[in-house]
Amino acid sequence: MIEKTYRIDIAAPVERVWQEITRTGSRCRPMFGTIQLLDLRPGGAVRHRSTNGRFTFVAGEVVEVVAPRRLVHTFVFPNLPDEPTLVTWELTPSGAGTQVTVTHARFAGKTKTWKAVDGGWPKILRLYKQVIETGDVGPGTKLQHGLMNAMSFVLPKSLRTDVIEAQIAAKPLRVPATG
Amino acid sequence: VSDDLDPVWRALASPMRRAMLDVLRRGPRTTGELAERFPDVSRFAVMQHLGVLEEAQLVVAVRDGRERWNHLNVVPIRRIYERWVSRYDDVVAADLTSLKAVAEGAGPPSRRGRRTTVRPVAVEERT
Repeated sequence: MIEKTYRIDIAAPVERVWQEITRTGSRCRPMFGTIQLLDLRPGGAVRHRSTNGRFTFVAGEVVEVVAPRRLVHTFVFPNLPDEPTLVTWELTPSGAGTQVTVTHARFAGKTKTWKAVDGGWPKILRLYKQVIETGDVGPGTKLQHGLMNAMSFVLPKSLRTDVIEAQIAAKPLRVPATG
Repeated sequence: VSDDLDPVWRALASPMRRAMLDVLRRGPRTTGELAERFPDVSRFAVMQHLGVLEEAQLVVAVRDGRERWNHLNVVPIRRIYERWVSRYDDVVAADLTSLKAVAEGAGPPSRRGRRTTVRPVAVEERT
């Protein structure tokens, strides 16, 4: 079974957590300070872009929405050669708070994507907890985001939004039928 | 003094439980598969250890029919890392600060000779 599971408890109601993870069009501090675009309906686009919109770091397509409990979408790193994978968010009430479980599945093997996601999800979930419980991330995280923005001129062409959208138009981000 | 990471420290204090996490690092295992990896330990003891790991959320159990798949969840370990070791992140940030200063101010650094010194900026991360 090639899938990964990440879980964290957040001291806030399910609705509040859902509101935060499904935000669209604004800066998403937990997701490396990118702009999250999320068209919350099956077939809708998922994108994580640089603040100026010129680069796209993550792309996907919404598969299933059961507000405020469950969100399933496909997932690719556009600069990696791997086929789309599948991300499932599950929000479960737990006491006065919410248990958040992210399952990342349908890796074609121990691919580059499979390796790379361990550098993301643990940090992302910890930061969602921090943002929702305290209202903000720490100054160290913000400093890093500012610097990542300032350094965006070093990013490869393969991450450019125009290049990626042309690729997606030619080949939609669906997961292979079997997993 | 206690916080919600206490169960994580308790779970990690046992060599047997750390060995179980090492097995799960390679991928999810059913409880049966996990027990087979530790022939000297009773299945009952393995299940008790799994209970402690689950309590600490280091293991997330996913049911699939009659099977119970145990997944490693690295998020609590990440939280320990951020809580105790995050100064490392600040050093990385400081490194980039000097890069930014070079890029915006002094122009490209000379390939030979001149070195920029990196001074860590103390940045406290709110937890």
